[in-house]
Order: sequence, then C-alpha cells, then structure tokens
Amino acid sequence: MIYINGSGCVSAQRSFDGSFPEEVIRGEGTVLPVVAPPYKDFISPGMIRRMGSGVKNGVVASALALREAGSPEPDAILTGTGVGCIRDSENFLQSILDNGEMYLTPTAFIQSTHNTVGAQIALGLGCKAYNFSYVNGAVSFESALVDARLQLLSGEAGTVLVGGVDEKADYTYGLFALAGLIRSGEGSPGATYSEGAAFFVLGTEKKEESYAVLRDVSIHNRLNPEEVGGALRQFLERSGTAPHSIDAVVIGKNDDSLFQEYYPPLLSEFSPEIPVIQYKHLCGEYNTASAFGFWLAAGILRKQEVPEAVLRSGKKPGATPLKHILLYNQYRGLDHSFVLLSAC
Amino acid sequence: MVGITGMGIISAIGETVEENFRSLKELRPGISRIENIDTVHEGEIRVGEIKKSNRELAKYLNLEPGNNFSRTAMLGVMAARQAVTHAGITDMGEWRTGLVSATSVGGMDTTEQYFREYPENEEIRRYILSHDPGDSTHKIADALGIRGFITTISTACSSAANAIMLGAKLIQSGELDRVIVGGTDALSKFTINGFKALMILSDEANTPFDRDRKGLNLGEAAAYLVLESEAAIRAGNKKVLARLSGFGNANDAYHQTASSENGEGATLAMQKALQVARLSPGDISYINVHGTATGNNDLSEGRALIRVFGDRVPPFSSTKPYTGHTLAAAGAIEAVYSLLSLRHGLIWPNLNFRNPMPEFELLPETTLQKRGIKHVLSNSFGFGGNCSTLIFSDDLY
Repeated sequence: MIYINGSGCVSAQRSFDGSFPEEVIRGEGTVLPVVAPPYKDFISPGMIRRMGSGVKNGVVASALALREAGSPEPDAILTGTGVGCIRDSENFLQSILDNGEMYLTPTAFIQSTHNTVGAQIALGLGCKAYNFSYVNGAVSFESALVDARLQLLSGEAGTVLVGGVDEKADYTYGLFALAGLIRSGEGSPGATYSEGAAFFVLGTEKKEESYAVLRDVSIHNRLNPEEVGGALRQFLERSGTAPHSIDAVVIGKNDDSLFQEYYPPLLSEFSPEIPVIQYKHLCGEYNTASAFGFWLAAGILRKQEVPEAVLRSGKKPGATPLKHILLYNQYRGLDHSFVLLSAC
Repeated sequence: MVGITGMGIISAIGETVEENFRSLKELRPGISRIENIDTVHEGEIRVGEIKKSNRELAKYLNLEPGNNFSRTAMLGVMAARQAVTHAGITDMGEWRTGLVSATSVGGMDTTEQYFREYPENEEIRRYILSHDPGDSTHKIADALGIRGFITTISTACSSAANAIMLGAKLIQSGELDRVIVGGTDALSKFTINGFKALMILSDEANTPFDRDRKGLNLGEAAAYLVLESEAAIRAGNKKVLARLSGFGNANDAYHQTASSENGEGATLAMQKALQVARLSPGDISYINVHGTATGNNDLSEGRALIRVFGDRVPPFSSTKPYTGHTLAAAGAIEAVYSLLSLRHGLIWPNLNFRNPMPEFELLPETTLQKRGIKHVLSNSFGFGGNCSTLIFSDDLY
C-alpha cells in the first residue's frame, strides 16, 4: 500500500499554512495571484532574488511536505512541471533577441531547464537519489505519480517525494491568451489561469498522520467524450473498485467555454447523490493544477469533510465515512488522468 | 528482462540506422558549419546539424500546410516511425503500447523565430502551442497511432536515457507490454547561446577526453527504441536486438550545472546499473561515455570510471565527435550506437583524440575495433546533477 504521509501546497489560496479551506479567497482577473508563503523561512535571500517562482514555490511545498512526514530522506524525487522554468526561459530568449545574441550571461539559461525545480530540491537536501522531471502538459504531475507508484510497489523505494509545479511568465502568459488558453475577457474562450506547487511524501509505511492511500493512477493522451466512461470503468476494475463504491468525484473542470464535454459522461457513471468536487475556480488552471486537486482530495479523506467552497453538486457526506475518491482531469481534450485515493 | 526489438535514428551522420552505422564504421563525423539557423555565431561554432531544412522535413513527412510541427517534433516522428517499422509493429492496438519521449527545448526552434511576431501575426500563432515539450510527444504518438500512456521526460542531457529507463520499468511492472522510448532535440539559437554564455562551446571539432579539449559542439538528433515484454516478444516470435539489462539514475547534488570533481553522481548511477543488471564491472565489454569534451565533464566522468572500474577500465569512447552533443536525445542516440556495437562486435573510435589528460591515465579507443561484445554500458549526464547509466546486453546473456 502507498500512503500519503505529508503534503505542502502553494497556490492562489492560503494553502501553505492550512488556512484554506476555512478561509477562501475569491480571486478576480484572468490570472490569479499566488498567496506567497514566507520564502525567507525556507530559502536563502540570494536564492529568493535569483530564482523564478516555480523553484521557490516548489522548494517551499516540498519542505512543508517533508516536514509533515517527519523529514525522511527520499529514495526518489519526482517532479511534474508542464511549462517548467518558463520565466528564466523567457528571460534568456528576450536577452538573445534584445542583444542580437551578444553580451549574454548564463544565469537565466542555467535556470531555464525543466529539471531545475527537482535539481534545486535535491541540492537543498543533499539528496543523491533518483531524480526525474516529467513535462507532459496536464499529466506532468500524474506521470510523476505513476513513476512513484512503480518504485514504491516494486520495493525500489520506500519513501518518495513527488509533486507538481508550474510558474507564470508575463510574456508567455500573454501568448497563452493570444492562443486562447487564457481567458482574455468576458465571453472569450480560455480559462482563468494561475500558478502553484504541491508536493507530497509517499511511503509504504502507514503513519499516524497519513492522509490517504494512493490506490492507482492512469493517463491517456487522448479520449473522446464517449470513451471516458469505458476508460473509467477499466481504471476502477484494475483496483477491484466498483463504481458505486466511489464516495466522491473530484473533477478538473475549469471555466473555459470549450473542452467541457468530457465531464458529463464521466459523472453519468455515478449516482447524482455523491459529492462532485471542483477546485480550479479556486486555484486557477495550470498544467499541474491537478496536484492541487490531489492535495484537496487527500485533505478531504483525512478530515472526512467536504468544504462548501468546492462542493459543486451532490450531498455533503453524512454519517457514513468517505472511503474512496476518484479524481479525473483533462486539459483541452488531451492528457486525461484518473487517480483513485482511499481513506487509510 | 526487457527486450529491444526495433530502433530508429536521425542524426548528423545519417537519416537511418544503416546510414549511421556506415558513418560510424567509416569514421565520418557529421560536424560542420551551421546552415539552417541564422546566428551571429555561425563563423565560430561547429555543430552536428541535420542538413535538411524544415520545409524538406515537412515534405518528407507529408505534413499538411498550416501544420504546427516544430523541428523537434518532425525529427522525432522520423526516428520513431523507423523504430516501429523495424520492430515489425503493424497494429498498435494489439498490445498495451505507450510512448515515453524526451526533449529539452521542445519547440524552441519555432518559438525563437516567432516570439516577437506573435502579437501582430495571427497566421503563425498556431506555433504558440508547439513550444510545449509535451507537444512533440503528442505529435509522435498521433503519427504512430498510440493511444494510452504517453509522457515526456526532461532532465536536460540525461533525458532520453531516463525515458528508456522509465519504459523498462513500465514493462517490468506489467503496466504496459510495449513502449516506444527515446528522445528528440533540434538545434536552436537558445541552446547555442546558452552554452556559448557558459563558455563551453568549442570553436573546433570536439575532442573528448583530450588534454586540450575546448568544449562541446551542439548537435541535433532523434532516436527511439521499441521495448517489449517477454510475452509480446514470444507471441510475435520477435527477433530481439538486445536486452536492456541494467539502468540507474542518481543525482550529483553538487551544483546546478557543473559536475562534482569526484564524479559522485556518475559513480552512483553506474554502480546502480551494474547492480540491477547483476553484473560485475569486469563483465562490461565497452563503455559509450557521455564524454562531451568539456573540461568539467570529462574530468568528472573519468574519475567516476576509475572509482567504479579501478585500474581495469574497459575500452571506452565518446561518439560525440560524430554527432555533437544532442542534449535530450543523446541517451537515445548513444543507445542505438551501443546496440550497433553489440550486434556487430565493434567499438567506435573516440575521434579527434590526441593527448591524454594529465589527471589520470585513461585512454579512449581511437581506432575502430572488432571484438566480441557482450555488455555495453552507456552514460548520460545532465544539468541539475542528473546522472544516468544504461546497460545493454547480448540477447543470449
């Protein structure tokens, strides 16, 4: 069994210190700002100045997760990041273009590689273990989860640090708006965006403070709306879970007017009574926003409570405990993922 | 043990496995002056460039006008298709098949051309979406007809080695039956200027493990392998090219870009791979080293070789004088060269080598050699301290 033994989350909500979900921020605008954690408690002043928000939020979220899990030494560090260190990437490209390829300093280039977050976490911990970074759009975090699961089940690792992190960059987010990814105003296609980081310590040992059990993960590059139900049933069958035993569904639905046709066929597989939970109105869209959903679901299983702000339909669970939560996400019809979490 | 049933490659020394094999045997490097990218550094740098323009690649692939393929995606599709054909796969749906691809820059080659023009020019905006590294992987999956598990790994210059590693794990765990694994990276102004700013680009042909090495030449390439489970191999009565017997990844945890002086991460990666393969250092017949020809890499890697192999370091060479350093694709390119080495009993020469390094007595192989080869170890190291080792073994092993 794989247990979630620690978590840390930096997002557009005050998630880093557990104020969310009691305290909910209703953000405005097309790109929600992150509620910054006290970086100086975790990172040296030099690095705070130098590093992009992805690295900083990733370092903080991973430190919180490790602290909560009792500071184990991870046997693997697995990072999912869709856009990677886009701010430094954009900065370096801007200076190439501005200066006609002359007088360049390498700092932004050095920090632009997609594995900078994972590498900086390893450097900070002095951790020489296996270290992979996954960069496949909306399944970047889930790819890292798949790897974590393989290693924990095979016995190759006993403790894994796994997370999802994405950052914004001004010019690139402007391009995302031009391309229709980010909502550019009322009635335009695109979603409300943001950035954030969520990290988790997964282990094969159950702890007193364990949140939940990670049962299974699967990813699909493409599914048609009519294939979603079948893919779901196949996924649940793998872990011997009947659809009617699912107690809540967490969906990655965003506020884009397009690409929403995948959710109704999914939800039609379940009783309309069960809670349907949404989170992207609170954390915004980004490639690894589903890691916020994972963090939310893990918290719901531990506390046995569905916060009002995320309940979209169905009844709040009553006296019967929440046992199994299914998470489903997709982004613009690509990179579909299913995750099954169970109570400890 | 995971079997390899197909391979495909496009690099500066050939557009097929056969052409690459011929260039390796005939000691023909692919290092030249840059032609496809307009850069102020064209007179001073040398690159491992594929001499086909984007227009020619698109035509070869029969892409529709208005497509948004980056060069990285086009190279990837070319190599991955070869691998699938080589493995004799005709029905993708027959087995649970996945794709794990590696890239470092993704669609940077088009981004850097259009970056400033996007706001004004609606016509080119379709390329905004092809910047994403996952986009090249999606395009390869679509071209091959893969539906299901696809993902992308980006750990700088060890990316493709890590993609091969994950593919092996997916098969060993029973998660998938077949995985197409490898990597693709196109040359870009971005990486040229990045490595230039780091002052590790040589203005001459690169000379790995040489006392007077001046740095690396960048290259572009794509290569893919088809990995299959025992069940799929048996059922299809497949010919196995070689086995992926060992793999290991470790982090140097020393510096964001530089490797540690004592080659700690590299040592750990090689030791892990040997352990997974249940081989002792003495079993390795040939090492395809990372050997980028930077001052730092070759010293660190050399020290790691001595730490793992003692005074009996097996014959080794870097093939980067042939191809240049192809970044995220390098691990897959060198996997293909390792398989060719195994299958033909040949050790590739480390071209351009003249003088040994003063720090140790390691001498790379400088001539083409024919000998029995059972196990080839291949190293790939990247920024972020990422160190990976793969071991390929004879099928009879």
